[in-house]
Amino acid sequence: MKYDEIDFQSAKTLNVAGHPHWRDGTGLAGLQKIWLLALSPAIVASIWLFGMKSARIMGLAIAFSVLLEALCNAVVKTKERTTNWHSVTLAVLFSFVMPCDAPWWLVLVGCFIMIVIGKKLFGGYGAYPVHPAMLSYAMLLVSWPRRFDYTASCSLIDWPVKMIEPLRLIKTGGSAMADMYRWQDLLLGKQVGGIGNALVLYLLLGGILLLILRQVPWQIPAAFLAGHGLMAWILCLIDPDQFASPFFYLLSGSTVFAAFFLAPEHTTSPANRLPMFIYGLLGGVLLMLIRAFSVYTDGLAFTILLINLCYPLLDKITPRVLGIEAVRNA
Amino acid sequence: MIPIRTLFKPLAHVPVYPSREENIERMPDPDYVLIPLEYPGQIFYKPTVKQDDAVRKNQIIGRSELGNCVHASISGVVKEIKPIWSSRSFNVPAVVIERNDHPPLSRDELFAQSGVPFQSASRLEKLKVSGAISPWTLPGRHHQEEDVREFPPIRKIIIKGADEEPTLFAFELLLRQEAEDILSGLKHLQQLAPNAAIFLTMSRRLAGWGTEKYGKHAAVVGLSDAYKDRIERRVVAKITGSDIPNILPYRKMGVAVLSVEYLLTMDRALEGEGPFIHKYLTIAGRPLEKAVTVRAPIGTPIRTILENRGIEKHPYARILVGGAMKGNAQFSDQTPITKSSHGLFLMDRDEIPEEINLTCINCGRCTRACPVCLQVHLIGRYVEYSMFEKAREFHPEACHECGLCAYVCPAHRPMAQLMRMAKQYEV
Repeated sequence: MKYDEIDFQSAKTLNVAGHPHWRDGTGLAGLQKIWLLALSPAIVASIWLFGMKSARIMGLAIAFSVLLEALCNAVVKTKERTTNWHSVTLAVLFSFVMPCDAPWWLVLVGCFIMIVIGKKLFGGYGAYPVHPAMLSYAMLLVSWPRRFDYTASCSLIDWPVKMIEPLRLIKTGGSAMADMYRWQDLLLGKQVGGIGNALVLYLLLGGILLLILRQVPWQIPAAFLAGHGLMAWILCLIDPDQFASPFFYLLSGSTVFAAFFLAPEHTTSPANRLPMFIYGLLGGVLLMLIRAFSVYTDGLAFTILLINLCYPLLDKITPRVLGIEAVRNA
Repeated sequence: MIPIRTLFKPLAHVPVYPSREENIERMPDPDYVLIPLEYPGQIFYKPTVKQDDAVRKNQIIGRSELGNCVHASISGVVKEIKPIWSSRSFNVPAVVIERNDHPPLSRDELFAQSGVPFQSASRLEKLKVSGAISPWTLPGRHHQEEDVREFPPIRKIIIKGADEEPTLFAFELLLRQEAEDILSGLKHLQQLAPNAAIFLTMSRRLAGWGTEKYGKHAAVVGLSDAYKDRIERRVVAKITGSDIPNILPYRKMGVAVLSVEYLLTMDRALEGEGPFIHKYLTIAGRPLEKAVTVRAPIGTPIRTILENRGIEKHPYARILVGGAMKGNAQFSDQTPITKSSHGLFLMDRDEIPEEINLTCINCGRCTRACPVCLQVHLIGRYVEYSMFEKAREFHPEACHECGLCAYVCPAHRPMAQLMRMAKQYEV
């Protein structure tokens, strides 16, 4: 081609942007899809164990959450899209702590608190200070404590175990009552609880998937479980009549659910490695303390809310910036 | 849905471009070239030719204040001298030469043009006449050409035999295929700077062979293939043991960093084999089966190079000069390649994320990916809300703009640009 023949305007349709041009490719929707993939073993197990009761609650929660989110996005001008799947993940996490006989209005009120108050009022995905699902759970728990009596909700289910919440057994009867549950039953989720928060093995599978896919930094779940086990062990040494072995506490209630799915939530967990470790440790210890000394049998909601409030403070522990001395000397 | 296979990898792991051609192909002279006379912040040449002058290949067409030269990369007629958009800046004066196949200038003719015969020229004069810009005047962000009469007091010389970017392979191929010339270049370098320690970086795969080949003249440093381990300022910091911030040129710390390509150019200049008129660059992207490394005359438009590789139409949405991580997107495919264009990368429309700059979700991946441990997520958000004083408390000036933060960001935020805004804001 000769120089005179060039049309310098010919390539106007080229796409330009700043570097880097390669992206990891996950995207916010992809991120949520991976979380849902990790939650799917527990979802399937929940439907298998509780039948249509759990499918009903999860379906209601997802429908209400997505509708409320779409409504909020329509009313308030925002960059966030309903299509980023975040409300679905939140709805699944929220429905996991519901009792299997929850009425529809309880789910609706929970979703309203979670999406409208817990998430959108603070500014949407990335702006809320505490986990919206746990905020909603805590408010419902305080408002309708009777509705969240898992033992009553599971009274019609016939499993070959003692149909009383394992943590309540320990709380009322001392460590001798721990023999009423075999560890296999606890692991396989055959324990009285919400529709998904006590499915230990399936949640563990999903959690390990999240760790392998590097979606969740290993520090938070590892420190959470370690802190919980350590605190339980110390209490067990002090008063073996009242407190069961650490393994019982790790396998019962929502310890694994909190360690893998609630504590490492992106927005409400620290960004640096050492603070993440302290955050997890704090969560584990706090969960055990609430279980041991409060009126609540499982301190899930309050543990997560309290450590979420601590995270900005923990994140002040930052690593040394490399090369900054040279800038100062220059 | 994301391909499952791509999920099983550590975050901040930038994959190396999967396939490549091992041979370096030599491109024929194009019909016309646009040779830029200015490398902003680095060097400015005053043209020594006028419009309609006939020039021959290797002829000096511009000279800087201190005698560094730029040459015609093809024989032809000077069509015009006009401002153009180069790959990294705009309104750069350039000489447009249209080809006419006259024979190239010989070494003695070239040195006769500069007034000093080759035999009696000093080493520095040989480098200047051959257009090998002295490396100690180049790297750094706010640099100007400096008058270096003697070799400056440089204690450490680092030669880049490993490409920084995952889509570029020119340095590595040169390291293996021009081994003899590189060896002779290393010897020249030892004579130029007898007191300096010379380091040669290369891929860890080649380190065994490299130590055997170059071990006598340079300390071989093996680097892993991960982009994170190849960021230039981090490599330099590891080798020299002290961090050099972006705002300082290397020479202020007694360090010179140059590529094997520069070493070859220097060797050719000192041996009198010809000036710096060819550039090695790697072309990669989806329209090509394998990444190819070519040697093209400086000033060749991108369009001509792509046509030479058989890419006729527009099977791409974005052209980058450089690599996929640090390259510059071009608005036109008529941009010429310059002395600092190490490669071309073509991107398809579906490789570009549809949604960019969503709200930060505070996942902290950028902060954990940062090679200098900056609080990237905080700085990014402070800049977004114009709180520059706050942002500067976190030392954004230590940033090397490697782009790993934006690479891992699930919200596709322009982290590298936010960091640059934080750096450039003066309180």
